[in-house]
Amino acid sequence: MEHTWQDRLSEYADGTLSAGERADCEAHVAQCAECTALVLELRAVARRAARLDAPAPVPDLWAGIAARIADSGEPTHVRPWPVAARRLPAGRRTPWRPLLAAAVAVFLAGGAVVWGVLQQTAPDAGPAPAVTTAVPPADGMTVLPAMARAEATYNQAAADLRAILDEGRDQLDPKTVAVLERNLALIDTAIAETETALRNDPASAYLNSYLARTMQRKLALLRQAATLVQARS
Amino acid sequence: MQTTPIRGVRAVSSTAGPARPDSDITEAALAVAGDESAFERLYRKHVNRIHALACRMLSRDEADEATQDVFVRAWRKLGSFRGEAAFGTWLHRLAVNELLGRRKALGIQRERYTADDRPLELMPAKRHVSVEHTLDFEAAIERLPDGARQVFVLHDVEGYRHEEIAEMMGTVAGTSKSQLHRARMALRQHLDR
Repeated sequence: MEHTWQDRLSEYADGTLSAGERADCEAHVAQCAECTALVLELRAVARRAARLDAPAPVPDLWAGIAARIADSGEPTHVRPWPVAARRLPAGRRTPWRPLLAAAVAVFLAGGAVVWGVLQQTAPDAGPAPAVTTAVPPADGMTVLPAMARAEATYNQAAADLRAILDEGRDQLDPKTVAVLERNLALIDTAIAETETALRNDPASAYLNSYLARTMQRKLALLRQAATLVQARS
Repeated sequence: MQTTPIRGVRAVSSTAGPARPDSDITEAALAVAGDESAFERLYRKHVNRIHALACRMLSRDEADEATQDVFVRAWRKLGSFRGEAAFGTWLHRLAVNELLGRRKALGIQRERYTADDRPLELMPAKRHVSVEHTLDFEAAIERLPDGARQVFVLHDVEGYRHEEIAEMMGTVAGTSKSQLHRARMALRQHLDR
């Protein structure tokens, strides 16, 4: 007997042949003891594979990973997660507007601060119109108009996201809320301390950069918290 | 004979306990915000599964370094995790791509023609050797020819579909199917019954 289907018996065993192919293959297998036995063996292999245990004990690799990610810096922020917006009906997507604003604020805040620092520190930058039109705030810090707008956008986005979290916190695991609140408090402390330091050294590239990154962290955390809330609503 | 599928696609979940997607999303969010301790918690939850995958896709010798590479890459790519799938699923897919890329980069074309390291298809069938000389199933997987081995691991161990495997390996579903059959044919002789 010719075993014309032998090379495709795994597909037959998996049920992935087309209807016509399956009928032909089945007709052959029904009258071929060798192929019948082979199909049983192929199924046994797949079942064995599905219940494999770990092949080797895992050493603790974290120290090496931690050292490497410390060198590589923070994860790349690509875009806000659209998961909740995608899952919600169209009429319920309004709450995501603040998330978009937050994403904009991330770039505005970071970009404006960096731009402002460059304007103040670049040796051959020439006249800086934005600086000359800057409005001195009451606390003496020089705030560029673009940066002020970015900061306002940031504050509004943070407030909106905070409101989503506050409204939906009952839908989250209390432990999750506790983790979020603890980290938000740490970030707020870092922001406050950095702002205080900036009052003494407003042109510090490091402090400006650190403040922007910390604000980004806060927005990222709030954004993910809002994602959690909306995924549950 | 009835043509029931061998099994469905295996759910991708951590081996370190029940899946808690919300917990993973929270940890991922914290990690995206720069919290390394959150990322460490994700590492500890998922490392067993990733390490096992690396052992089977590459080798036990390469698994530790490859696992580190996977998690470093995951850290760098965290910003692209959009929460559309479970974190474990996202990480596993990233790991598969990393391991396949590593295999390709290192030019791993396992040609096992030495006396102690022959390809599985050239090994004597179980029925012709004594039990004590029979390879255990895991070791037999390690001796599969390159290509067939990866397809077998991805399909029968990890539960990916042929179309997904073909996409990840840059080939076509038909090739994946024939590689899987080749692997199963070789492994059936090494079942520990």
